[in-house]
Amino acid sequence: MSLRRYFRTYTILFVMLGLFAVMSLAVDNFFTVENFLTVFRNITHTMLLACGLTFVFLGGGFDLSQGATLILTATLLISMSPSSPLFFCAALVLVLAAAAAIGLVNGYLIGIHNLNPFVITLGIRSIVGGVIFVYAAGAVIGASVPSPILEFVGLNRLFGYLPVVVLTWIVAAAACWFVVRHTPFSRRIAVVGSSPAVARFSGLPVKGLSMSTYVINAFLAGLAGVLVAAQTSFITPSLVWYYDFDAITACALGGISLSGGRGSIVNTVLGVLFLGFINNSMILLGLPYPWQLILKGGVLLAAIITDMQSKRNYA
Amino acid sequence: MPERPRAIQRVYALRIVILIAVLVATFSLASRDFFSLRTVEKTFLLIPADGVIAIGVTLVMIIGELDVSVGGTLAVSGLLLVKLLPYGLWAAIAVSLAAGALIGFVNGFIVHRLKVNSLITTVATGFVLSGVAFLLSNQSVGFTNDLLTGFGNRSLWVFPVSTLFYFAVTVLIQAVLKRTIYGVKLYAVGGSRLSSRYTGISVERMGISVFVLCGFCAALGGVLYCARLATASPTFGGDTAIFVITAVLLGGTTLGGGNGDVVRTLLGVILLSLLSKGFTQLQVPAFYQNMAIGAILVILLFAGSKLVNRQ
Amino acid sequence: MDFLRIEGLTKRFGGVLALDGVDLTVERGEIHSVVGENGAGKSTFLKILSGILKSDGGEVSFEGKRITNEDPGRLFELGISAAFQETSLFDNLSVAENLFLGRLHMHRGAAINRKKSASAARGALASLGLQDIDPGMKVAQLPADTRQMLEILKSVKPNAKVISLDEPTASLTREGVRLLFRLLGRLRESGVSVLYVSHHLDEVIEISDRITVFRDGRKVGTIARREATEGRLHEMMIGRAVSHERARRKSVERSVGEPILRVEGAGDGDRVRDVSFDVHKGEILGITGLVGAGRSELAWMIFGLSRMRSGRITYQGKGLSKITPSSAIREGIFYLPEERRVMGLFLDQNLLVNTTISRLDKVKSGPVIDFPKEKTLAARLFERLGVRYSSFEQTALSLSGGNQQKLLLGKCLFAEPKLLILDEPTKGIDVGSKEEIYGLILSLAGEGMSVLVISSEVEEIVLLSDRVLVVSEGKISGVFTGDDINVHTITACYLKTARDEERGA
Repeated sequence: MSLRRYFRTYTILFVMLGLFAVMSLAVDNFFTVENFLTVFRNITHTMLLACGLTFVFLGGGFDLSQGATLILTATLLISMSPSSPLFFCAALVLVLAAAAAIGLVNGYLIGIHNLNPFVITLGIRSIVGGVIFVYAAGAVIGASVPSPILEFVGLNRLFGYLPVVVLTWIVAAAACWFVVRHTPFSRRIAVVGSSPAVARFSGLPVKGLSMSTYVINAFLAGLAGVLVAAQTSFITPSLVWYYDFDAITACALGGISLSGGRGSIVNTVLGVLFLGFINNSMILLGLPYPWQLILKGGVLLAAIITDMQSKRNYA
Repeated sequence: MPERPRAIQRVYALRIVILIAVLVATFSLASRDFFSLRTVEKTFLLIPADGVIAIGVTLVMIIGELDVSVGGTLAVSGLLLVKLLPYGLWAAIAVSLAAGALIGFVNGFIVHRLKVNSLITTVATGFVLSGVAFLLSNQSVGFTNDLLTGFGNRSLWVFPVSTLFYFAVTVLIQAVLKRTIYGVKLYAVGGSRLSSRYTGISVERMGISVFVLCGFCAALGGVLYCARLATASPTFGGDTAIFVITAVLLGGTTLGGGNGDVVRTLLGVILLSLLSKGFTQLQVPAFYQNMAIGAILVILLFAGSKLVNRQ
Repeated sequence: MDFLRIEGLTKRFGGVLALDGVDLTVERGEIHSVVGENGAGKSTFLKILSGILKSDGGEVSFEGKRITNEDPGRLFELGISAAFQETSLFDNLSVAENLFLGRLHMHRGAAINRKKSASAARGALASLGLQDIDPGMKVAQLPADTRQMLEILKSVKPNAKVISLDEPTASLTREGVRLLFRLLGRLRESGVSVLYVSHHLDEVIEISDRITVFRDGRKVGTIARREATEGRLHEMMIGRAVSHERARRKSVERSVGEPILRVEGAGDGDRVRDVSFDVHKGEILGITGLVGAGRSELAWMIFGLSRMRSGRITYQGKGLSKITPSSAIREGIFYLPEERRVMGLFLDQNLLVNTTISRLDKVKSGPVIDFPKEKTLAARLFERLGVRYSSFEQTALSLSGGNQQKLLLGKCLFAEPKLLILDEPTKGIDVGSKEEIYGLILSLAGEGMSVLVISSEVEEIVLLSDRVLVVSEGKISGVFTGDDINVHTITACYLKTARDEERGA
C-alpha cells in the first residue's frame, strides 16, 4: 500500500516538473514569482475542499454538498460585510458554525442512520442551494460597503510576499496532514473506511467516526467559503456546481481510494497543485476554453487509468 | 417465508404515485388554472428528453454503476444533429445517435476493461464532452425543420407526440428488462459480480453494453431536447446528470445495483417535472424547487431505511 | 478413452505452489471424492476444473478433447459444472431465475417464458425434496441450508456429465444430506460423474466409489471405497500414523482459579435461549455443537455485538449491562471472529494497523502515534506468535492463511484480554500452523488467561479444553469434565441432539 502511495507522489511530482519545464520554455512569464503566487491564490478553495474530502474518502464516504456549503458561507459573509475585527470574528464563528451544522446533518443521516452518502449529500446540496437562493432572493450578493477586514484577508500579503489566503491554506493543509499521518483519530477513520464491520468487531465507535468526517469536511468547506468571500467582492449563487467536481478531480489525481481505507494529504495537495498548474498553463497558453475542458478530462482519465494499472501490479 | 407487509410498508411502496397525487392536488388548489388540459400538456412536453436519458441511466444503475457524462453527450449530440441537418434529417439523426453509442462504448470500455471507477471516469469524459461541444460551436445554433420541431412540439389531444414516444420506449425497455435473457443477466450482474463469474456471465460484456445503451439514450435525449427548442447549444445538459440521477433515485432504484426498472423511473421523471411545472405556474421561484427535491430525496431515504424489511 | 483425465495440473499463487503436478482420472458414472487437509489444494483443483481459475501447467481432457483453461460458459456447454459454497447465487433474483441462469447455455432465443421456467424450477427442486419452495421467492429470503441445496441444484444442469461439489454438506441438515445422497445416487445411475470434496470422512466413505487423497498440493493416492477407513484416510492425509483418539496434551496440571465470568439464564431473543455457565481464571472452556445452535451468538452477547434480552452476565464480580465491543475490550474481553477475512482483519491495511487498532492508547505518546514504539511492540508480538512476514508495511491480504490467523491472534493479544473468546481459531489453516496455535492457546491459559474456544472440530475441543459445553438449540445440552472429555462422548452428545432436532423438526 505504502509503495503505491509513494509511487503516486513521485509520479505527480515528476509530471509536474515536466510541465514546468515545458511551460517555462513555451511561455515567458510562467516561471515567475507572480505567476506562481497567482496559481497558489487560485487553488485556495480547491485545496481546502480537497483536504476535507480526503477525510471523507478515507472513511469510505462521499460528499457532494461541499460546494453548496462553500457558497453559503461566502454569501453570508459577504452580505454581513464585517467592518471591525470584532464583528469579523463574530461573523467568522457564525458562518463556520453554520458550515459545521451542515456537516452534522450529513454526518447524522449518513453516519448514524447509514443512509447512502451519494444520495443524501445530493439532497443536502439541493436544500442548501435553495436556502442560498432564498437568502439571495435570486440576485447577486454584493456588499454595500466593502469590508476592510475581508479585503485585508483577501488581498493583502504578509511580508509583502505571501498572500494571507495562501498562508491560510498552507496552515490548514499542514494541519490536515499532521492529523491524517500522526493521530490515532485518522487511523480509526481509515479502518472504518476499510471495513466498518471489522472496525465494529475491533471495538471502534464506527458511527461517531463516520459522522466526524462529514463535520470536518463541512468545516473546511466553510473555511474555503470565507476565503472565497475575501477574494471576491460579490458572488453569484449559481456557481455551486463546479467546486465539487474540481475537488473530486484533485483527489482522483492524487490517487485516493474512493472506497476508503487509504488516502494521503500529501498526494491530495499535489493533486490540487497539479490541477492548478494545468489550469494556469492552459490560460497562459491561450488555450481556447473547449480545449481546456478536453485537456482537463484527458489528464484525469490518464491519471485514473494509470492508477488502476499500477494497482494491478502491486496488489 | 416472506412476512406480510404492514400497511405502512404498502403505502411506502406506492410513495411516488402518492406524492404525484399530492402534488397535483396542492398545485390545483393553489392555482386555479393548474388543473387544466393545457397544463397537463405542457407538463408532458417537458418530460421526454430527460425521461429518455433517465432510461439509460437506470440501466447503468441497475448494474451498479453511474454515468454523469450524459449532459455532455446531450450537448454534443444536439450540436451534431443541427450541424448535419443540411445533409438530411435522418442522416443527421443517425450520426447523432451513433455518436452517443460510441461515447457510451468508450465509457464502458474504460470502466469495464480498464477497471476504473465509473463515477470518476464519467466525470472525466463529461469534461471532455463539454469541451468537444464548445468546439462544435461556441454559441447556440438554431435550425428550421418542420418535421423535427413538429415531433418535438405537436400533440395528440393532450399528449405530445414526443411524450408518447418516450412512453413507448419505456414500455419497450421494461419488456427487455423483465422478459428477456438480457434483462435477467443485467439484474444478475448488478446483484453479484462474483456469482456472475461463477455462472459464466461475462460481466465485461454486459457492462460495456449497458454504457453503450446509456450513451445512445443520452444522444436520443439530446435529439428530443433540440427538437423541442429548435436550437442546439454547448451549454445544454449542465444540470442534466443531477436531474436525471435524482429522478431515477426518486423512482426507487438504488445505487447498489440489482434492482429498479424504467417504469419506476418514469414516475420519478413525472414527479420532478411536475414540481418544476407547478412551481413555474405558481410563480414560485426556482430555488424552492431545489429545496423541495432535496428534501423529498432525504425524507424518502430516511423513511425507507426505517420501513424496509432488514434481513 | 478416458472420461475425464487430468495430467500434471499445476497452480502457483505468488511464490506458493498450490498444486504440484496432479494426475487424476474420473470414470463415467463414478462418484469420486477428493479429501485432504486445509490447504492441500482441493478447492484450487475444483476451481481450475470448473474454469474459475486458470492453471499454470498440465492438461485436462474430457472425452478425448482438450479442455484445459476453458471458460466456465464453454465448460457448461460440454456438461462440466461445479457448485461451491453459495458463490453462484443471486440474492436479488428468484429461485426460478437463478436456476434459469444456470441453464443459459441450453436456451435458445432472447425471451424468457416465465411459466416454463417456473415449472422447470419446480421439477429441479423436487429432485432434492424441495418441492414446497415457491420458485418465485427471492433467494435472499431462503435459509442457509436451502440456499446450499439450491447452489447444488444449479450445478445439476440438464446436460450435466461431470459435476464438482465443494463441501456441499457444510450448511446442510442431516435430512438435507440424505436427500443429496439420494440425488447423487440417481445421477450416478444415469451416467453422470461427481467430484466430491469434503472434510466429512464418514460421508465420503459412505457415498464414494473411489477416494483420492491430496496433501500439500500433490496426489498421495487413490483408493477404492472398500479399502477406505477413516484411519487410513487420515494417515494418507497427514502422512503419519495418527491414532483416532488424540491424546490430550495436558502434561502439566494447570491450576484453575475462581470464576471470571458467570452467565445466568442468558438469551438474546433469537438463537440463544437460555444458557448458564461459568468460566474460571486460567481455564480453557470448549464450546461445541451443531452449526446454528447458538455458539457464536452467545459469544456475541458477551462481547456486546448483540443485545442480551434475558438473564445476567457477571464479569469479575460486576454485573455487565449495556455491553459494547469497545467497553468489553476495555474490561479485558476480546473476541476473535469466525471469518477472519470478513470480520477480523483489515485486508488492505498493513500489519501494524491490524495489530494495534483496538488499543491505540498503548502506542500513543501525547496526541500522536509513536511509530517506533508501535513497531517494537508488534515485532515482539509477531515473534512470540511465529508470524512470518517480510515487512510491517505489507498488507494483511498478502499473508498466508495461517499467518493471517496468527496476525488476528496478535490483534487479540495486543488488547491484553483477561478473557479471550476464539471462534473457530483454526478454520482453513494448514496443519503446521494449527499445531502452533494450539501451543499458543495452552500457554496463554497457563499464564492465567481464560479462553473460550468455540469450534466445530471435536478433536480440537478435546485436545484443548479443561471443560466442554455442548450447545444445542440455544441451550446447554451437555457439560463434560476430566476423563469424560473424549471424542466419543462428545460426538455422541452431538448426534443425540441432532436426532432429537430431526425428530422435533
